[in-house]
Amino acid sequence: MSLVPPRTAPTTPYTFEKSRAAFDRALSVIPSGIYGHQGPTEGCYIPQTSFPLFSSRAEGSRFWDLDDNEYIDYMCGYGPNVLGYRDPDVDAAAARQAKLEDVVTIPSAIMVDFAELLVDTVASADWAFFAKNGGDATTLAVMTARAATRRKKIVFINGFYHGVAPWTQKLDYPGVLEEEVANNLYVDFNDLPALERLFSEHRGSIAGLIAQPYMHGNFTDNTLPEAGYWQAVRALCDAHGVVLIVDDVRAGFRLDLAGSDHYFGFKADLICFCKALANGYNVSALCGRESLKDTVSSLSYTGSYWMSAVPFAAGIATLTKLKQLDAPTQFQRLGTELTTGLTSAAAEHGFTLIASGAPALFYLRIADDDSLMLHQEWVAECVRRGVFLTSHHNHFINAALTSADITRTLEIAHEAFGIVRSSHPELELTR
Amino acid sequence: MLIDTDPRVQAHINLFAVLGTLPVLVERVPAARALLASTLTPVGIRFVVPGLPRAVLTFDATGVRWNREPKAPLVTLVFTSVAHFNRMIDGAAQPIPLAAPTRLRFLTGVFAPLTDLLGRYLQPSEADLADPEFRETSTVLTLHVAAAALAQVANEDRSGRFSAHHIPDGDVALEVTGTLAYHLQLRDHHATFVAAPSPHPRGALTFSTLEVTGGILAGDLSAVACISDGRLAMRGVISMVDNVNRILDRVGHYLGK
Repeated sequence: MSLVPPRTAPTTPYTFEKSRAAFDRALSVIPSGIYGHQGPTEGCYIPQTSFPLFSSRAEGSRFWDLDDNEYIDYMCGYGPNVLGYRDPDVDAAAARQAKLEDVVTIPSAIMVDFAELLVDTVASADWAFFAKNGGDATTLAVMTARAATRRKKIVFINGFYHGVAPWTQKLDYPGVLEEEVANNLYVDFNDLPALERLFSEHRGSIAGLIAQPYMHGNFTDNTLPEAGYWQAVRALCDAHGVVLIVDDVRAGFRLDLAGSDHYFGFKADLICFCKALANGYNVSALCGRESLKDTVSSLSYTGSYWMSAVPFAAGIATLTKLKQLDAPTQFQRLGTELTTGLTSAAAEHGFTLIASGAPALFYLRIADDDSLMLHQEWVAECVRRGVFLTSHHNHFINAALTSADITRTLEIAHEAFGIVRSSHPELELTR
Repeated sequence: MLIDTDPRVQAHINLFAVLGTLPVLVERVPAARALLASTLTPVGIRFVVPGLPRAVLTFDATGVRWNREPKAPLVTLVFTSVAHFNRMIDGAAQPIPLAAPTRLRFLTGVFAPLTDLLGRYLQPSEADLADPEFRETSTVLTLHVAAAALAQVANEDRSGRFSAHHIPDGDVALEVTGTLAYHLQLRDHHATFVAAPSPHPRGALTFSTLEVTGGILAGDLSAVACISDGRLAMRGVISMVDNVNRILDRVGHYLGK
């Protein structure tokens, strides 16, 4: 039985006149027009003319751009959309809290409710500290590790992303001083001998190791931990007095509501959450073990909006609903259904599509060339027909995604593979 | 981001990227060919700069190329340091020439005017740029210098080597649509500049026109604005292109005013 739905009538590619006009205005008053990962440069819009630049509304698994083109969205706002855009339960909880208070001189007690819920939910959490972005949490984690150990060095896994604070960047990045990255050490994921060597060479000077639970870097197939890897890393950190920090900003609550360290069978000392924490309401959290709580208390670290109450209410509603839905199981099922269908559709057109990483955060790559150019062409054709993918980044499943959405996605993907195939008669079919 | 530049890297750029553009000058500029017209038998100029590889540029009426022709007479230019060499490129110092007196005339009669002409194209006056043909040639030569400097910075500069360390094997194309195609070849994080199209680029940075190229290199056009409207495009393994862009930024530290 074919996993690919029957062909439908060819779609008409979208156009983006209103997006372009808004972007032209933006270029005059906003650096880069749209800066960062949601802009055309870092967002790898290739070619730029195939992508919308501004959205106008969103609901469930979809958003609409400024030209009213509709997309089934597999980027989910780069992660925050975990239940579906404008989830009614989350929005209602947020609205109730907004009627009471949000940003006030002293915090709302709902902050305590949210911290208690996180401590009850996340296996390695004895406390929770709230901020706004994932980078706030990773920076706090690194400061905590240094304060607790009175050591300087931090071990990073090559291919890492932990935010945009200077310590997370590299020697060759503009605006980042050499001194700000001078204590960064690097090692490859899944390479235990190299990690052992690094710990030995810098014995007594490493404060922490920060890592994502598995490698979900850009432009490359995502890599899961080898059997026993995390348990061995845990043991090495214990032996060397190194604080083990899990950056679960991207994967958190999509693999396991108890934390991705729990999913992979180990316990972090500190774990960072953000994206899926409140379904798009602006809050992040650092959670950790009891012995580090006093250290965190000693740090000077706060922000004007870090104790706003509405995102706490949204976070409570989000975690509660994720539990009710057993969302990680649902994400695994939907992600597997989608990626299996996509790889089958690719194969029917003679392409080899690799889906890697966890199905809830799948990464895609057409493997028939080593330049990603075929893949970029296919992604562009999908986007122009209403399926929002990226060519460089892992994707995200949300709980509002339906099997009907997946069926429609596969129809469009099928059409897009056919277009790319027609454009490349020189390619030898792999089937 | 390193704050300082390294005089040794500057010397590599001056030797292999700036003087390395003399062959293109001769190909494109009739006045340069005229200067060489009387060089009926090849003459080599050997540059001896402490800390740099020995390099020989050979000149004859057909052009300029990197290599030493066995029977060609040699003029050796000795420099006491990389700083001395860099000052010579800036026009603020003289080399120590070692050659028969008759060959020294080649230095003053051909080599010096050629490098002066190159300097005029690389640092053009407003009046020169008013001539479309001059402006086009100036852009071609500037792009050649910048592209050739990429390899020098990737291999010799501390920040450049850091960037190159993050680039996998493969070619990154530098193209001006329908006009020029160069590429940077990466093997084991070592970069080689190739003034020809890549048969199989893994990444590409494509300028739509020479005008756009010149505008971006001169800092008159925003690269981001050009990406936004398609005048500058990236494709392929963008992490490779991104790291090449970081090296290009570092090239700007050396070549910028």
